[in-house]
Order: sequence, then C-alpha cells, then structure tokens
Amino acid sequence: MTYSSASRIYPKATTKAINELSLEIGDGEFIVLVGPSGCGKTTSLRMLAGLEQVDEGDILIDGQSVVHLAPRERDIAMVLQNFALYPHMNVADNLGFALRIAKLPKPEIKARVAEVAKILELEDYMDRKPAQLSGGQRQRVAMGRAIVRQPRVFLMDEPLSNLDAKLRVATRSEIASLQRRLGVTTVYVTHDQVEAMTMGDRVAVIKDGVLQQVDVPSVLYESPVNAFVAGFIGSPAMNLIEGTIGPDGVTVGSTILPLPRQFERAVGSGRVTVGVRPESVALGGEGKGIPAVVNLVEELGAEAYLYAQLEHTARRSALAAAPDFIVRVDPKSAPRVGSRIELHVKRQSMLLFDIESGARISV
Amino acid sequence: MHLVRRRISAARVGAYAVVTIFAVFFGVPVVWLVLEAIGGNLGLWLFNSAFYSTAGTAIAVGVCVPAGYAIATHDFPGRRGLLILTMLVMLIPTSALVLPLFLEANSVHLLSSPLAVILPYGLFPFGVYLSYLYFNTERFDVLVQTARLDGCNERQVFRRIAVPLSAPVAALIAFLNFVASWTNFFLPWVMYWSLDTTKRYPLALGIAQQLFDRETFGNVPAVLNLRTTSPPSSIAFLLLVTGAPVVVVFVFAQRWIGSGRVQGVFR
Amino acid sequence: MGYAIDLALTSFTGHFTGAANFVGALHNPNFVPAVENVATFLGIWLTALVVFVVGLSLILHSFHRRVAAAFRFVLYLPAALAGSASVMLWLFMLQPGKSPWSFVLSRLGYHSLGESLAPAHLPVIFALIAFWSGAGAWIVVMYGALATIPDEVLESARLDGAGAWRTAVSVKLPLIKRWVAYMVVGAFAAGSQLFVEPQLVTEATGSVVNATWSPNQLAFYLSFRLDNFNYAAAIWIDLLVAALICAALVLLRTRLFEVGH
Repeated sequence: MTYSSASRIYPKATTKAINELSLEIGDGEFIVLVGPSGCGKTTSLRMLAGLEQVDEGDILIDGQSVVHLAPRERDIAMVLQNFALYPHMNVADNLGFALRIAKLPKPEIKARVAEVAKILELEDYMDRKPAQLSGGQRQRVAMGRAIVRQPRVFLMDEPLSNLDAKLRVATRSEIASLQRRLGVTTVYVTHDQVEAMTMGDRVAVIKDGVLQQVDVPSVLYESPVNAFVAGFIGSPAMNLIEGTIGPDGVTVGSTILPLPRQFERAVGSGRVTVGVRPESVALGGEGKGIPAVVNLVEELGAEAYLYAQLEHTARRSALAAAPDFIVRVDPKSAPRVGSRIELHVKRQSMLLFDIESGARISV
Repeated sequence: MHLVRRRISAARVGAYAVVTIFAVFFGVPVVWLVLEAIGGNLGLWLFNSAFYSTAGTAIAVGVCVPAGYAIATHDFPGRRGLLILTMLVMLIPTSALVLPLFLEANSVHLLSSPLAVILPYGLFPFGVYLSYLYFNTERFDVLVQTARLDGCNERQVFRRIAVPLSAPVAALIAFLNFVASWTNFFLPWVMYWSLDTTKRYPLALGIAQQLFDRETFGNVPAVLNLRTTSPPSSIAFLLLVTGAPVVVVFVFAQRWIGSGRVQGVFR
Repeated sequence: MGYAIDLALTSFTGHFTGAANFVGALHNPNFVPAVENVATFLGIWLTALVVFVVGLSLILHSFHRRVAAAFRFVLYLPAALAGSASVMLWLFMLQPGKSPWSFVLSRLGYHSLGESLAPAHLPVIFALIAFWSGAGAWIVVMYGALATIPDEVLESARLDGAGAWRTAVSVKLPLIKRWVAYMVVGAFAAGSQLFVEPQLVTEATGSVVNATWSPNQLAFYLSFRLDNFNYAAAIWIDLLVAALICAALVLLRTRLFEVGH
C-alpha cells in the first residue's frame, strides 16, 4: 500500500489534519503508526479504510488508487477502538455478518466462523451477546470479525487501549504472533510507543499530521531523525537538555562535556539540544560530571530509575521546576533521595539536535 | 456521515422521491390553510413569481456564462466592440427598456403569455460582464491552453473545463438575476395591465392588487382602510412571504459562490 | 377507573349485576358494527404507521443532517394543528371543489363531499387524518431512537460492506425494535378510543356520518343521550382490556421491558 502525499483537511480548518503523508507499506508487513493524541494517526488509518476523505494526494493498494472506492470495495478489515460489535447479535452472528453480506455460501460461513472461534478461543461464547462479554472477549470478537473476512489488509485502531494493563501485555504478543501466522499486511495505530516498538516490523512516528520518521525500531532508537522522535521513542524518555557548543565540547550548566569523536571538528557554535538516554549515564567516572540532586528513585525490581534535578536548572518554586533528568541505576547501589550526585555522560552515546528545528545534527 | 464521495444511485433518487412525496402530502394542506387565510389568489401568484424568476434566471445563466467565457478566452474581430456594447446596455436603466419591450411583445402577440416576462428576465448584460471577468484570468488561460494541447476541441474544452469550474460565477449571476426578477414590478405591470384577469400576476403585482382593491372594502383602497385589523396583518404577511424566498436563495447561493473549486490548479 | 368498573358491574339502580351490562352492551345493535369500524380503521392506521413511519425514519437517517431536519420539520407541521382543526381542514381537503387535491378526487369519481365521505370510505379517511396528524411526531421519536445507535456500529457495518438498505434492515431496525413496539401499543390504545374525528365529521356534516360509528362514540351516546352510564362504562372497560391485550402481545413478542440489551 502506498500513501502518496495524501492530505486531509477538515472543512473550515486552517491547518491540515494530515499533511502530505507519503509512506510505502510492503506486503505482509506489520507497520505501526505511533504518535501523541491528535497527531493524525487514526485519521491516516481511516483514510486508508475509506472512512475519511482524501483531500490531496492519493492512496494506492496493490498499485491501484482506492480514493474513489467505498470501504467495502477495498478488501480491508478494520478493528475499531471501541470494538463496535453489533449489540443485538450474538458472537456467531457478529462474526458472520460481513460474510453474509458478501453472500458467501452458508457452509463456508459456518466453517470460517468456527475456525476463527477456535483460533481466538471464543467457542464457548458463540451464543452470547456483546453485553454479556468481558472486555477481553469483546476485543477478540472484534478481531475475529476482521480475520474471518480474509482481507488483504488488517487495520487496527488502538485495539488494546480499552483493556487493563496486564491483559494488554498478553494480548499484544498474541496479536503479533497471529499476524505472523496469517501473514496479512497490518497497519496498527497506537499512542503507546512500547506497543509500537515491540510489535512492529517498522514504526512510523507522526506528529501534527506530519510523518517524522519511519524505520525499524532499532534505527528509530539509535538514530532518531529529530528531537521529537528521540524524546518519544524509548521508555523512560530520552533526556533533552540545553547546551552551548564551544571549542572544548558542549557546556551544560557549568560543566563542559566532551563531544563524541565524530564531532571533533567543531560543528559551529551556539546553542544546541543535547540528548542523553537514561542508560547512557554513569554516576561516577573521570573528570567532572553534571551536578544534580536526587528527587526520586523508582525501583522496578531488576533495575531502578533515578530522577534528578540538575543543579543549574533548579528553581526556587517547585511548581516551575525543569523536568527531571532520568538515569538508569543498579537498584542495589542507588543513591538516596536528596543526595548530591554527578552525572557522567558516556561520550559516544550523546546526540545533538538543532535547538530551533529539532533536527539531529550529524556529520 | 458522508465521507467518500457518493455516486448518485437510483436508490438515492428513489429515496428522495419517496420522502418528497410524503413531504408534499403532509405539507400541502398546511400551506393551503395559510394561503386561504390570506385571501386572494396567493398560491397562484407565488407560483407565477417562482416560475418567472426561475425560468428567466435559467436563461440568463445559460446565456451569460458561455458568452463571458467565449469573450474571455477567444480572440475574434469585434471582440472589444462587443464588450463595449455590453457595458453600454448594462448602463441603460431597465425602466427605459420596458416600453420598447412591451411594443415588441405586442407585435409578436406574446402579451398574454408568461414569455412576455420570462424572456426579458433572461436579458442580463451585467451577467455577461461578470462571466467575462471571471474567465478572463491567468489560471483559466492556462487551463484552456492545456486542454487544447491535450487535444480537446472547443466544445470539449467548454464542457470539461469551463462548465465544471463555473459554479461560483454561475451562482452569483443566478442569485443577482433571481432577486432582480422576483422583485421586479414595472415590467410585469406593463406587460399585464391590459389583461382582465389576475392569473398571470407575479407576487409583486398580486400584493399591489390587494393593497388597492376597492371591492372588498367599499370603494376605499384596502391599504387605506383603517377600520379593520386584518389588512395590515395580511399585508405584513404578504411582505414576509415575498421576502422569504429571497433569503432562501441567498443562503443557497452563498454556499455555491464561495465553493472555490479552482483550488489546487497550480500544485 | 375504579368508578368505571363499579358502574360497569352495577345496574342503573345500583344493584350488582355482574356481567349483565357487558352482555347488554354487546347486544346493542350498534355495538358490533362500531367494533368492526374501529377494527378496520386500526388495521389500516397501524399498518401505515409501522410501515411509513419506520420507513421514512430510516430513509431520513441516511440523509445529510440538515436535509433530514428540513424534511422532518415539514412532516411534523400537521401535528402542530389541534385535533379538531385538522379534521376541519380535511373536510376541505375532501371537498372536490375547494381542495388542492381536487384532481385526485375527480379521478376517483367523487364530485361532492357526500361522495367523498361515503360510509365505506370512512375507515380509510379517519386513518388518513390520524396518520397525517400523528406520523410527524412519531418520526421525531424514531429519530431520537436512531440517534442512540453508536456511530461506530454504523461504521462497522460500512466496513463490513453493508449498503444503506442492508444497514437499515439488519442493524438499525433491530436496534429500534423497542420504540416501534411502543409506537404500536400507544397507537392501538389511542386508536381504539377513536372519538374526535368521527364525532366532528358527524356534527359538521349534519349526521351524514352515523353518530355511533365508533365504540367510544356509542358509549358517549349511551351516556349522554340515553343516560345509560352502565353500558357506557362496560364499553369503556372493553376498550381498556383490548388495549391491554394488545400491549401484552406486543411486549411479549419484543420483550420490551427486558432490562439491558
């Protein structure tokens, strides 16, 4: 499938909800559209489904433009966020509805429904109506409705967001393995970057209707194209702090940090945004580190995250404090809250971003 | 709920037909009731006004849009002359044209026919000028040339480029012409004063007839009758009824005039 | 109601008479024809209501919001007229000279009001009047009912390939079953007690129409012309029971009071 400079402009809006999105999706690929609420990922999905108009550009499936086709003519199946099961039909009828509309022979409908019920373990609930099902069961019926149609594309709009946390994690892996088994091209929308990173073959990060970066998860993590992607991907988030480039390195507060080796020849001077991941900071080491005070230590069992206030950004009023600097530490040797520490940034792991545009600076 | 562009299907037309039939069944008695309460041949006059204005406007749009387009996009001898002539006719006050039109209508024996009023309503030189201004822009030049290069003959260019994109100016011409026709008094007055029936009257004439009717009010013009309370209210209502269609047309015209279909030409 | 039951079960002088009043009312020569009249009327009217109100509501639901609102407004206009006014209006509508429907009336062969109001036509005419005055309000109710269907369910149907017709029949209609049942029950109760329309037509046409055309009219006649309140009360109880039976049947079939879905 291809989005070709596709845009969506709502009537009487001054900005484009989707701004010239161009994206190629391969056959059998599991691609995740991720971004903060309101970034346009659901709108993009709906444009693909035919539920939203494409105002500019084009959308192609298997090389053919589909913008003038109704949803049912595009051979896609969609799992909506709130499942949208038919309240008056039982599970079996819900699963078979689309097949009955397509006028498939009754035995085939029965066979397909039974098969999907087996895969999703819904066999015991076939006679129940949606009101009598739990959230997880409803979610499976919603997925079942999509699978039973054997479409060429699955579209999923935040299917896990209505489930409780534990169920979410379990269902996540089920969906991923199901997709691998069925091999159907899947476009999956979520605001949760953990879901995106763990489930997708590729991940597309969207902000304000504009595609920021699309790539395999590891590349997004290691080589984010701008500060937004860097801060969005990864949990906990990357630390982004202001610094000034000088002849000896980048100055953060009153500490001068050496630049990664490839930046040896000065990349100009002036203010930049420095990106440092929590795992790229040590609490001890050569030279001076950035002074900070520990605010909070989150113990997660095997690891711990330390939230510190950089001294040079501390303000008098707690309400106007700058965001905490997060460091991954060994729970056994975590410093106490309130203690003063020095943060030593691993030189090669530092990322630099233009302070105005957010674009990553590279050589 | 309407998202992807729908094609107009037979089922859709059928649905509209069914609902309209019911709407007529439900609405006609109510409308009849109101009209009967007012008195006079109101329904007929309303219909006449609508008929004359719509027919006249249809002619006006049908003539002005192609005319303006032709003048704007083709170079022919006498082009400037035609434009100046149009401007001149536009400047002549319409009342000065009414008597000559009356004599013309008389000579072809059209006086008792609706055409006596409809045909003059179709005359709208200002509309030609508006259309000319609309089509005489760079973007249309480019579109027309591109179409010609793509191998279209002139009729195809008109049909495929000009007509679809003419909505804003067509709506504007239609709106202006409709309002002018609907409110026009002098022309139908002159055309129909010699008839001894009020059957052909448009609304404006009907109202006048009611206002000056002497029969119902004992030789005093109705408008001067101060004794009864009904004339003022019914006249007020008449005026409201006269004004309402104009408002409706205005609202519709607005949506079409501002439709800006020529977006994206240069992308 | 208690008083009515009391009246129904006693004689004029106050003695308890059991079912005698009911039997007596039944034997009144006008009773059976009146019941037949109202039964025919109900048959036509209820069918028209269910078919056209539901049909029009579903069609309008598929239109653009403002277009649908405009149509609903027009369809509701007659309901704004008081009952007696609409009957009077229809007497004009049925008069071949004055009516805007004259061309229809003359094609049907009616050339006077008397011919329009022939006894055989009355059930149809009263159904027409009742439908014209009442359908608009029910259409608005159905609009409210259809609005309770979540948008996503309708989107789901679109994605599943259901066209407008299929969605209306397989998704929307089952989900508004309860409101349709409510409409039938309410209309049956109101219709079985038909009084105003035939009574006004009787008075306006100087009894061209029989003064005891409907059971309720018969009861009225018995009460105020013949002073037989007991028979009248018996008839009223009969009507009440009929309405209750209809309600029970409809509710059982559609499980109207089932809590939840």
